[in-house]
Amino acid sequence: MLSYIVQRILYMMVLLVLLSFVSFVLIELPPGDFLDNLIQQLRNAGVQVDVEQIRDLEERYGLNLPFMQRYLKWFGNLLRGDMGESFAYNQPVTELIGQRLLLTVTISLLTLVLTYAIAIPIGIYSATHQYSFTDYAATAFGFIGLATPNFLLALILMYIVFKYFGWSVGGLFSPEFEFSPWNLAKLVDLLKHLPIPLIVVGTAGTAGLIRVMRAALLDELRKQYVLTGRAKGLEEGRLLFKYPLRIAINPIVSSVGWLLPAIISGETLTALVLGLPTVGPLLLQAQQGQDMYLAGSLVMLLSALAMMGMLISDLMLVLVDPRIRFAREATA
Amino acid sequence: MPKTFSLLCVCVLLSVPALTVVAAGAADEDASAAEPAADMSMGAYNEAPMLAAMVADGELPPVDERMPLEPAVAYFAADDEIGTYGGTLTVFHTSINPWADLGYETEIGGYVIRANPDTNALEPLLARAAEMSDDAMSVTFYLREGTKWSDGHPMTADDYVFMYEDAHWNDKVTTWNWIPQIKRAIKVDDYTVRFETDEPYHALLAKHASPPGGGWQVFHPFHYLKKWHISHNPDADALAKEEGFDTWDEAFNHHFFWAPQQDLEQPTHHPWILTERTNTGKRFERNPYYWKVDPAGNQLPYVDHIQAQIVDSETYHLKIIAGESDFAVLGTRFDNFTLYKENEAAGDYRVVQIPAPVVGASVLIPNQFHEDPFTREMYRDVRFRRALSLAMNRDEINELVFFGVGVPRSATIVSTNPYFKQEWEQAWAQHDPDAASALLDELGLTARDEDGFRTGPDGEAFLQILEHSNEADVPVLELYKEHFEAVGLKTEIRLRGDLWQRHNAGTDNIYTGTISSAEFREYTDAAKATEYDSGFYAVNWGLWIRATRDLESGAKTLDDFADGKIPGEEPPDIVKELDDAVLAWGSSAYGSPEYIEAFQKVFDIHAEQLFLIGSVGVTPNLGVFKNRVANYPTFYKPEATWPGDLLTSADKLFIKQP
Repeated sequence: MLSYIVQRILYMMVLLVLLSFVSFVLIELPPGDFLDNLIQQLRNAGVQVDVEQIRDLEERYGLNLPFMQRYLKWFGNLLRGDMGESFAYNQPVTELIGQRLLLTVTISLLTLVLTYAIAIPIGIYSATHQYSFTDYAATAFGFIGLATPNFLLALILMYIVFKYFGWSVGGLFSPEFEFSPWNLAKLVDLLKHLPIPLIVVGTAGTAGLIRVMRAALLDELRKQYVLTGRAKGLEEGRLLFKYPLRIAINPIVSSVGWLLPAIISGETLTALVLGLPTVGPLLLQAQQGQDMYLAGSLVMLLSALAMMGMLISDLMLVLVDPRIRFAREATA
Repeated sequence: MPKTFSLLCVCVLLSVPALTVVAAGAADEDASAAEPAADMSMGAYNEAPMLAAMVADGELPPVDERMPLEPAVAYFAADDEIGTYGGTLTVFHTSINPWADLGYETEIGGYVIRANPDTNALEPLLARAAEMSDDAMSVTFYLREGTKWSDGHPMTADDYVFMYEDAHWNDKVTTWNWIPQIKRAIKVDDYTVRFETDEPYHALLAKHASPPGGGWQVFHPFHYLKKWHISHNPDADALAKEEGFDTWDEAFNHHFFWAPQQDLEQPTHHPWILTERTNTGKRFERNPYYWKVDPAGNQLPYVDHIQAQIVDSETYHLKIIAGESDFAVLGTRFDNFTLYKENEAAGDYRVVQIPAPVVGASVLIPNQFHEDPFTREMYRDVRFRRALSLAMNRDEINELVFFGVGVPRSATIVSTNPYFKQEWEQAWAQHDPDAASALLDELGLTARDEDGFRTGPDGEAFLQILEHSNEADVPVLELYKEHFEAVGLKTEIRLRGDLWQRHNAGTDNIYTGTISSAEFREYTDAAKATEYDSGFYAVNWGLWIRATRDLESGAKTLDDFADGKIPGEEPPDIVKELDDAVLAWGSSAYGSPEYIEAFQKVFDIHAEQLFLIGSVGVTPNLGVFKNRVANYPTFYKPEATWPGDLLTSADKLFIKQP
């Protein structure tokens, strides 16, 4: 088991090195660089920027160096845990991510809990009461939820909340609480802003999860061991929770790890529409503005998390599903 | 000997040949013309209750000691009111950068001198008086004694000299907006500073009424920053290392640079101080040492705090219509006009159209150095450029994109300029697709492909590629595409993030961008002449002309250029003539006969040559202001070069009591 983990981690490292190169290339790919964007902004702001100044700036940001040199400098620093500095913010990338991390993770985890809390019971109920009215209702809800683009839902909900409740929309805090220390009023303000993101981000996840849970459980319920159990007079609830459910939950467990990067980045598009100060929009802005080191480091961070997540998923499957555990022990 | 009149008001519109002296008198007149002040006996100024409380607690010196001996008096238009103190304004920014509503960390105090919006005359502002020498080679500023930085330290000639010697002229320090003609900065005494040039520069004084005169965080506190600068502290490198930087310039830039501002301790001379900043918001507090009063002797600003939240650019509009934003002008978009208007009552705000000095939205500049010989030949032929211009349906663009409030026009100076000619605006600006087609036929573009597009020598459709770098241009470009294709020119629109660099390297196709920086009344003329110089629309010709001038004047020899060759490309005679006129325009005194002749020649040539092809101009900026906010800007000042100049009178904003 331990050697398996070590092996996986070694693979991950090789993969990360390759990934760092690919992501750096991809970020460099669009024509122009951060300076072009800056110059455009300055020109829109009525400033004449001359060639000499551009050269000074290129030097200052190190943009005049050849591609490989820039890559190696960045990657070398990355190995030492230094993610570089964002051009646009003039701040270390780690600091920028750090500032947004807490809120992002809070929202992501809250959504996740909400999603599971709603989806798993409904999925179980749908499967055990297949083709009942409630199953159809849940199915209808599921398809609508899956089919509605999140950002559209966000816009509609924002409009409703703004129009009928008169709440401040967009962002997580009203302007007057932006700098106020934490107190009850600020918490209430945050709670007022939270429902929309939670509902919007949660809907698609919930809808999908209901379908997965229902399908997986239906497969199991038809199997012989369930029939046998029932024939032997096992109590229905105990029968369900002890055997088929534990197997039906596998697809969900195996995808838990994938959520790790999603928890850190949050839903980018939705966050953008809702004006949430989370990591997703930061990444988008960095890519739009060609803020190289910020974008590169974020991509690296998310990739590393994705790989970690997959490892965790695999390990969790081993724990949850005895069949995998025994299969591995048998081959080892 | 320089002329020094006091109380002299130089009226530019009256074409006084030399702008020479700007004295404090004009500002005093403002004060005496206004309503009698509540209590101005013995120069006792009023202050905000918030500051009065601090004075009572002994945290601050009394207001009279905090302000200059003669404070500057803010310009109040006839409909501006004397305000009341207090309150917080809420604004929204769309990026961390300071060029945002009431942003600028927060640079809205105005410049060292200003142009009076009523008389157009230059008058002192941050300086007490200013004078330019008769030979236009030096300008002297007499500073207001007792002006202080926001930490209470005096602001003196040292700060002005520091700005040039240690910031603008130091390669390792990033700054913008200096006046390149200035070669020496001399401290005459603590409150007198002189800037000198090597050659006569007639815009030298007037240029100080624009950002180089103190906007864009041009002024910085010498006393605070000097310890990080190697010229003033030999141990600056060691200090930098102590603070975690590699070299002194990194540390200096950290403390000095302001986009965005990192060091919140750095004192300012602007009306509000940035006290808190995160990546999602900023908070500003009034500067107790601000050097301006209203005509009734109340120290400005009126408003105590500004809070800014940084939001996505779409959320910005949502915040406006929800009535959450007190003051929005820099991020508003004209295509949202009806959206703002619909929610005007519910949001308790008003939408104000502010006429702007826009030469043209999405002006086209065909690349005169296109790599494809056939395309180049076409773009260099004036008939082709005229055909493009005639093919455009400017009225349609105006109606569809600008709700009919713009002016269909060719790319020329705006009509408020005193030397403007109506014919420039209308040159080749009629919609005449038949004439355009006839011109294209005349150029030999008669063969068509199966889709009806005119073909080039290779038998393929002759493609016009409109390159842009701003999404806001797209609605106009889509219409150009329709108009050009109607006369048989296949057209494509491409987004290029690096358009400006491509344009400067002569590798673009057809550059498109809004030209909005020409002033209404042409104050800082010589600087803005650049947009009509080949250095702007045809870089290689500009390079050749400048290099040739340097060779002729003896400033440079052939050895100074790479490969010992003149850089760029020799332009046609008409361009040489045009650039000579631009030079004469910039180097003659404003309003002199030579000036008018040169100025008009520039636009006569442009009107015929169409190196820049305009569409619709003078489109307004939209200001959205809450009804409770008073003294908001409604017009561009004479010296304004861009919408941010609307903020330079923000110190007189106030919140009306219900």
